[in-house]
Amino acid sequence: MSDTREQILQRLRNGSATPLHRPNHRAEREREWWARQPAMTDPAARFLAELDAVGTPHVEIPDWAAVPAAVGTWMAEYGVHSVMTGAVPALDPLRQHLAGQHGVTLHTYTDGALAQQEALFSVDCGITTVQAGIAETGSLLLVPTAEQPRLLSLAMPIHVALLERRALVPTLAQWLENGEYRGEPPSNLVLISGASRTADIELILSVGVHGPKVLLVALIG
Amino acid sequence: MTLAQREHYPPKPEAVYFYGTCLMDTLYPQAGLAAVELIEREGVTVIYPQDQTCCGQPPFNSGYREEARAVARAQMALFPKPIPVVIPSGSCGAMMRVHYPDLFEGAERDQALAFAGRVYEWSEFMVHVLRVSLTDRGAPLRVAYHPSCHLLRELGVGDAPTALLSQLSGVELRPVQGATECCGFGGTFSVKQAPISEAVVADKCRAVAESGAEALVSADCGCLMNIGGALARQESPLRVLPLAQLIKERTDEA
Amino acid sequence: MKPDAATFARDAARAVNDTVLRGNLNHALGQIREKRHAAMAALTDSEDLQQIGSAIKQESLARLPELLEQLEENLTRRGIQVHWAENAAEANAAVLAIAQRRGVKLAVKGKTMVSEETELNEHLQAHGIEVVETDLGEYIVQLAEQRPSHIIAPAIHMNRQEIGDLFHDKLGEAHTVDVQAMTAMARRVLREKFQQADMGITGVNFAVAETGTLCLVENEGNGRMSTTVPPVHVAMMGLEKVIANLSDLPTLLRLLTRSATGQVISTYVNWIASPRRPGEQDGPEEVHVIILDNGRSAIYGDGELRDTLNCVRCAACLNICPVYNRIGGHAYGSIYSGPIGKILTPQMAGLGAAGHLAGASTLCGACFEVCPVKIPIPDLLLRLRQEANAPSAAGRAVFGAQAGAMRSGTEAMVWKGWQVLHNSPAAYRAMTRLVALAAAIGPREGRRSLWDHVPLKALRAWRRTRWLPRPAERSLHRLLRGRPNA
Repeated sequence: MSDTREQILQRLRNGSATPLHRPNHRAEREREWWARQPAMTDPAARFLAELDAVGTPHVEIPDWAAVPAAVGTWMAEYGVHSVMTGAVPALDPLRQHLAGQHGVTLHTYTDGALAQQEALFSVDCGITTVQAGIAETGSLLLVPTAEQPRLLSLAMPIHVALLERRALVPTLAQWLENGEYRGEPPSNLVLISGASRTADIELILSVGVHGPKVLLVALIG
Repeated sequence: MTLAQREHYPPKPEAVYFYGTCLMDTLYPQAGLAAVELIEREGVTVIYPQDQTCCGQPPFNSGYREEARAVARAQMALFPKPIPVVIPSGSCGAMMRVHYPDLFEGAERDQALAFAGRVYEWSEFMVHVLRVSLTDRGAPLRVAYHPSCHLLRELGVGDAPTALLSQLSGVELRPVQGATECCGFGGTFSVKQAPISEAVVADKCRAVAESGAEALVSADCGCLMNIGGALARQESPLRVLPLAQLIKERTDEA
Repeated sequence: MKPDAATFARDAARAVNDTVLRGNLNHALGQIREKRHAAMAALTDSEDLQQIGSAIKQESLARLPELLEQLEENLTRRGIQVHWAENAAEANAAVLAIAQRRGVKLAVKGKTMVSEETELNEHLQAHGIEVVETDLGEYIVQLAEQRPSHIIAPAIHMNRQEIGDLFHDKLGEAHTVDVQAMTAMARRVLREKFQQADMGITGVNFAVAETGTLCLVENEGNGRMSTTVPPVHVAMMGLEKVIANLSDLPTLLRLLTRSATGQVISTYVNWIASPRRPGEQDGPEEVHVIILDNGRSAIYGDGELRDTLNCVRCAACLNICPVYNRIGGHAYGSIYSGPIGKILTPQMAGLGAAGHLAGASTLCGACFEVCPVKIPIPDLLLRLRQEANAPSAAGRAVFGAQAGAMRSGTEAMVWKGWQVLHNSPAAYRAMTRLVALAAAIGPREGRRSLWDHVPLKALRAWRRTRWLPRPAERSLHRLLRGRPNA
């Protein structure tokens, strides 16, 4: 197989001798193009507008202390009976609140045992914090961790995402510039920009295919 | 392939060459004459080398470049003076302006590039170089315009034909559904892939008929032959004619 | 799928007369075109952005061998295993080997055109492995035992009635044409499969050499499921998918999602850099990448044809193509259909088998106009036509023995004769005079003339639905005799 590798690479190296077909001033043109786009004066407003455009409900709350009440409201609105979060310190008040809620079963994600996977696939709602938000596209940026695994934002019908306003950046390019990713890429990073959807049948939109049917976003701060 | 849209146009010249194209020569010569006379009306001398034949697009599109090259060489040799070469066709204009340089190498390629730089599609020339001002003397008429693909996309001439038509005060330009879609001609495609071509032109005919137009114009004879031939077969009352001919008819003094 | 000129002619003719198919395509493709158009129009100078997309791909392709090595190094360093496959058979063998080593009984698949290209499913199934497509469109065509007919919307050729029938027949579900209900059925079935699967197989939209990142975009969540739940993830990619830097991604994503579905971004953008790390609670234990050649390195070697490899598989060219709109994807007889298929398939399958596809175009240029990475498809079609009709294989390195595979002695003679005629002004003028005289013979009333009875095959094909124009009595040459000649 390393023969295959060498053969392929050698063919490509031979082919590389062919000169570039056309001249290229790409980086400069990219800068000029971006400069001509309308300036983003209010990233938060843009972020929320993009959420609106795809029908993602959201609330703005002043601080973390307001999170339990906001989430509680959603639990009632969407008829949630079982919810799972990770053992993240910032979510302790929320977990306490939910544990005390009548009619809501709280699961805390603690480890990757099979039972936990079953729970992930059977709860009504998963709640996660997210690392950042991208205003241009209305995206949540999540890097899964031991406490908040990948499935916590994927396997259940409702996903609640908690985003700090100060973690909003205008564009993905700008987020990349902070160098965090380049330094040591995490095993997985996902941008989530709405509820799972498809239009594979007659181009008719259907929401909630394999991922969550409902995405709820709380913008904090 | 590049959109050969120009940024600068020269001032009005004293004389131009006219390249009639083989389709116009044999099938729509009145339109060719009209196009010439409309240029002459602006006080420009039109030179028509009688030895011109065809731009070479048919063999070129079929993959026969050697044959296309031989004919291209002969055509270019007929237009030595550094004056504009005006062509009443988007596809032939694109052949000369976009593809001729690619047929040659070295010094011949440079010559072809220089030649290509002097090639103007007729409506483009009328609007951007001659800056004509048309007085419409015709009866009210509802007209649909079909923008041919080569004119629109290869030459980047989108505005000139409609600019001319909107100068005709008696002409009501009717929008056509899917106007910028191809008519399905594509030269030999129309016969080599006849079922597909027929399906495309059928949709185009329907769209043109539904526009409520009484006449269909285009700046490409291939498209006119195709759409016109299909409409005629359907016994459509629509009159199908080249843009230059419509303009001449309506702006001629009685 | 094996392309073939006669089959193409037959299938295309059948397709244009299939009113159900035509209705389905009109309905769906019109909408996708509008969405793409609106999304691009919302950007200032979107045409410039397309040019920039082209430049990004061009730059990365110029460094392709180096970038592939850098990609491999970064992937390997983080525990992703890289396999190189010369052709479809090697790619399938590599996936099978992984599956057999892991005792895989069930594999779930995210949408990947490369696996369709190699016909992976059949290979795995022949070795006793159940393969389930999880993208809704792919799942539908799998149930229907068909191939996808469109790169982005695999079941676009079907309407909800047909899909409802299918779900009823194959899944035993109550018959419905409600789209939400059908989606819910698929969700129920496939959730079980995700949890039971031993392996997830996906494609790769972009592979970033700088960091060893696999970037996958999707809307449904099946890609995330397939790359998270099963213990093994296999990603298949054509070798042209590698791009140099992370900073290339935002622009390419901006172009891809708008061009494909009219979205500012797809619902999920998934970046994978390693298998599950110690302490992480989910994600696959093993991640593999299959880098596939299958003719791409040959395309790469030609400076003009190399632009074929810019393709980001958005299908914008399919959606706008007058030919694709009338015949749908299956008629092409190759997994890559539409304009991109017409340049890619002849280069992969050879001019002998697929050169006819290069002729199935009017060269209208709409594909080039919408391409987010500005592949000059009409120019490449012309080039392929030239190669296919070349007088000999000598000096035509890219296609080797395939050059001139479609050359017809008769057609060559016709064009030679054409050249001789058109290189002789006197002969040309004489011919046009003869034609005009001949046309004048015959009934003057109506539109019919002698022309309409000439039994040439080409003219017969024209005359099925069109009248021929009558040549004028006096040609333009004659009308302009009084003008200056030089």
